[in-house]
Amino acid sequence: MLGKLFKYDLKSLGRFIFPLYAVLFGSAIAVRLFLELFGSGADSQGAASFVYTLLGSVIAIVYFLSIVASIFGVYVVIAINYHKSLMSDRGYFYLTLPVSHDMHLISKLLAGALLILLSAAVFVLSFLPFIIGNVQLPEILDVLGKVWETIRELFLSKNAWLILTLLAIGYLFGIQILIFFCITVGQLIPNHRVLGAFLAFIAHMILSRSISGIFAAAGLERLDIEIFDMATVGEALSGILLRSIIYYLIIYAVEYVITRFVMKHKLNIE
Amino acid sequence: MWEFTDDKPIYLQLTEQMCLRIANGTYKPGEKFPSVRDVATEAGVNPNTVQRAFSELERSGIVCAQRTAGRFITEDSDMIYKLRENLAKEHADNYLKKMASLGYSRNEAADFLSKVKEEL
Amino acid sequence: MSIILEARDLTKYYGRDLAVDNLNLTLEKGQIIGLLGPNGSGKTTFIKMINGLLTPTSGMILINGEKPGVNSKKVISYLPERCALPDWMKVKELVKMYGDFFTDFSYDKARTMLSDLHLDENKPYKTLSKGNREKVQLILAMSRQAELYCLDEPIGGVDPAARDYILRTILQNYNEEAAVLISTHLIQDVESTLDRALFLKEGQIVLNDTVDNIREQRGKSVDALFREVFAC
Repeated sequence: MLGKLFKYDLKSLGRFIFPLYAVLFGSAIAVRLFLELFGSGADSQGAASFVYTLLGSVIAIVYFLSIVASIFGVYVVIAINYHKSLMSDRGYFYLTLPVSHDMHLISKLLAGALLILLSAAVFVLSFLPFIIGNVQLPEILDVLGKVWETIRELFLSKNAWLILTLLAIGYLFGIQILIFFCITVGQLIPNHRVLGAFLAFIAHMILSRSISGIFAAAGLERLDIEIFDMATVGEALSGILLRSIIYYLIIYAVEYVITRFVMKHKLNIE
Repeated sequence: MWEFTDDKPIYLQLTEQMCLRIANGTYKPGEKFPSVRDVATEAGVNPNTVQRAFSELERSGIVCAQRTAGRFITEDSDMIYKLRENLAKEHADNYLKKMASLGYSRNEAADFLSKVKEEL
Repeated sequence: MSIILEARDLTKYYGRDLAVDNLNLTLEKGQIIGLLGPNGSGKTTFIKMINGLLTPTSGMILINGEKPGVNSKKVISYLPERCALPDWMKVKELVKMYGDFFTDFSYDKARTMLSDLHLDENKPYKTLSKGNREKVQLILAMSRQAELYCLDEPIGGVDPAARDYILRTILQNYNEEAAVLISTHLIQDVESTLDRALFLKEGQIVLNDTVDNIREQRGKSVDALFREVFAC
């Protein structure tokens, strides 16, 4: 059952996302082509220059918009899909399928996670049209490598993989859970669902920011300020990072439970 | 095919209409009776209602249920003849009553019928 | 005579509004029951509770002895009043989806009914007229071999010829192991298909009797009685 739900959730999300990817790729290629073909056009004058500027601007705008869309769009699509499937007329169908509420949530989380990963990959790959044939590739990779090393030393020292795994989980699932939480809790206020969702989000923000800071800083006392070198600073910082990630994961877990509870007992689709 | 009025239970009306069909030979003696499901679908009537009508017919003996073979119309031609007569008597009774309400006596009503049967 | 559905002191409040008021009733398998009442009488609220879309404020609702959940959803075939299917799919994809989730679904039945009603499987659902969309929903619900069919206004938005077809289909599908609950206000059309009529007024059951009894004891049809009971 989970597999089947997942298939349909993926289809439901995909039909908005894939056109978006196509636009992103298409416009990236268009920009690259444009630069190749008309790169020298900046020098020309008169009508040709005007056409060049106009065309160039349009393509550039489309490209930048599609980059922004591909970063945020996937979350927008996830939110809309969640609301449409479970909180609107379609809820009469989906929520009467012989499937538990957990299954509904897990299926959506997995489908969403897959698309988030895909979006990230597409985002990176959309730079491909610029990199191909570009002699500076090895230099870019070198710089990236150095940046990665610094980050590792500074923040990740021990527990590097643990932190990364937890970060990945938080990134892939946490934000989705937050979205589901806001939408589900929001519908508790009849006729003011959007306001409700907004209030739920504010509640999340207040709770997470106010306490996580305290929680994370609890690790600071252990910092012996006399020994001030990269290693100990790195250790302390990684400890703080780890703690705040864990704290967020706990918040997300609680929000998941609340979401499922509200869905099961307090839902009123109208 | 099947006409139902609002004022009587449908199973009674079904029983009556089936009796009519047996009396006028639409369903022949010894013939296999249609199934509950067929009548229900054709008449747009609840199968339990149809079942009740059939049970009434079985009780009166006009329809016989043979365990595995199903339901059959009786071959007793006397019974069918009597059924037809009884239904006819009802119509006659009805006629006489209505004529009485117009002021005709029974004899007058009978004579009247003989007179007009050519015209109608 | 086994009981498929039982409501015990079932009550539902929406805030301060009482939608369903201490409902007590049992539905038996092998019966076709009409849930009759004016708009706002609590019919849809009751049906939503049967399907687990709403939780009761107090009291309980049991299907095969269990509260609404995954098990009850397996054996209930629900036709909602609204168009609830994902409308971006083609009709044949919807058929496949139903088959994917419900093990008691019959592809053959669905296809036969779709062609009987001249519905093209290859059309996207959202391009169909409202009446045709309702027909598709109904066909899918009736192609299942469920233990309880919950039909909320199955004939409301369809033309008279299709209505006859739909009622005939309900009768043809009839089996002693299933109960059919039809919620409607088109009483005249469905009266002869019903075993039993339930009148729901302001969240309470004011009549629960067989159609035969109603006609025998009151000398009038359920439709006529309804007009009396709910006269404005």
